[in-house]
Amino acid sequence: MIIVGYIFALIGIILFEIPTLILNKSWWEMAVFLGLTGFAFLLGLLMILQVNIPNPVYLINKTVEYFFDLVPI
Amino acid sequence: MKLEGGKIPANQLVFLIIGFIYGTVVIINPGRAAGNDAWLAFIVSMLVGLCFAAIYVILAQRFQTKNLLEINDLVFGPYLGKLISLVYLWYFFHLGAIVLRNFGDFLAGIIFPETPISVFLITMVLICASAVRNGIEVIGRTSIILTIITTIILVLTSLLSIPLMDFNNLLPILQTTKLKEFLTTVLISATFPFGETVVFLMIFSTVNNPKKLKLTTLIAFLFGGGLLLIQAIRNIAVLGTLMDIYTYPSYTAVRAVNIFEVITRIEILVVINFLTMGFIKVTVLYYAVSLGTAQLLKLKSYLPVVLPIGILMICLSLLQFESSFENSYFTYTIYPFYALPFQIFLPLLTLLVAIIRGKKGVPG
Repeated sequence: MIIVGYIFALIGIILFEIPTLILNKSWWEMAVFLGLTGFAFLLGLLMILQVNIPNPVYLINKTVEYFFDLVPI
Repeated sequence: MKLEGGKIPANQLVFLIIGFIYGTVVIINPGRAAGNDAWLAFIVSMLVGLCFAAIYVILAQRFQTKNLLEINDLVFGPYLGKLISLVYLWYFFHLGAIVLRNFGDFLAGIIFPETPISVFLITMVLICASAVRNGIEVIGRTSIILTIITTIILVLTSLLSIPLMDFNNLLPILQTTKLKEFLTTVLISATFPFGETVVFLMIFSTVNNPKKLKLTTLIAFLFGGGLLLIQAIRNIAVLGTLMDIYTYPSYTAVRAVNIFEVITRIEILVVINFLTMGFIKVTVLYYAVSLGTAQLLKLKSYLPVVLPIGILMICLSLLQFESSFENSYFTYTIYPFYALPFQIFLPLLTLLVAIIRGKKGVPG
């Protein structure tokens, strides 16, 4: 059910944005929009399906903690 | 190429900065490590924050019509400049996701415990996306109304809390807090919220009178810092040493207000403050990321990237912390050190390289 809602939301976003881009013949803008939306959609879908996605904050935590070890504050 | 044609007057920038500074601090207390000396730590951190802001303003005035990304390109050249711009965009994007998560954690954890956090994140991003798509002029005008409402609410809740206040809670000064804890609080408060104003390097170029930037920023920092100070004193005076154990001390302090059993449960006013100021903070960051991404990818307009960036921001804010405790650990322990390079080292480096290379923006 969530996935169906999610797909409808995506279709809504595409229908909202694409007509203006086509009318203005902004092909590069459309490519960027579709690329970013596709990536965002995929990420969201994987999260809904509860697939393990690498967490960038984990890397930030480890890096800062490494410096804590080097320089004890 | 200019992606944003809008201009904002200096007075709107004042309200925008105040709203941004007050943003998340409405509910989260960056001064918890300093205990009853948090108010003093805020004053010191405001002075440190002013030093940060001085670098941003000098940089902005040197390159009057250029925003941060254009400055990076001019100072470091097209390749290194773009790499540094990308790093900044990540920081703004991540900061937006953190603020969004704080917003969601608070609403889903305290106000609507049965509602999934994603509902609040999606709603907030949709409202912010609308503001971002309307441009900086609309954001600036909105900030005036919202900041005035927030200030009135803060003063009102503080006045209503007076019967609960015990000003002895502010004493003894600098005796119970160790120097290390005090300095840690100063660092936390300087990076969050004052140092975060580095994002305004994306907005300073839209101010119609760049000569007023110094005065504008000074007024905004003093006023924003003043609001934080009032809030800190109220929370310490009402909650005393208990303040450190609450995740959301402002909410708890105002919740205790009871005037003759008539004026009670006014903590919703704190929630209103957080909604409005959280909106301003997320919108400014969201705007900066959208504008920056469009600029980096050489788009004719930033509108096509607004909604996808919003979805990505929601994804990151959900993904980054498994619980509000992780969020708390990151905010108080990791974030100040993570944010420092973006808030002080990179802007300072940019300014030094610009001075050494004699780079300046051409007014126009």
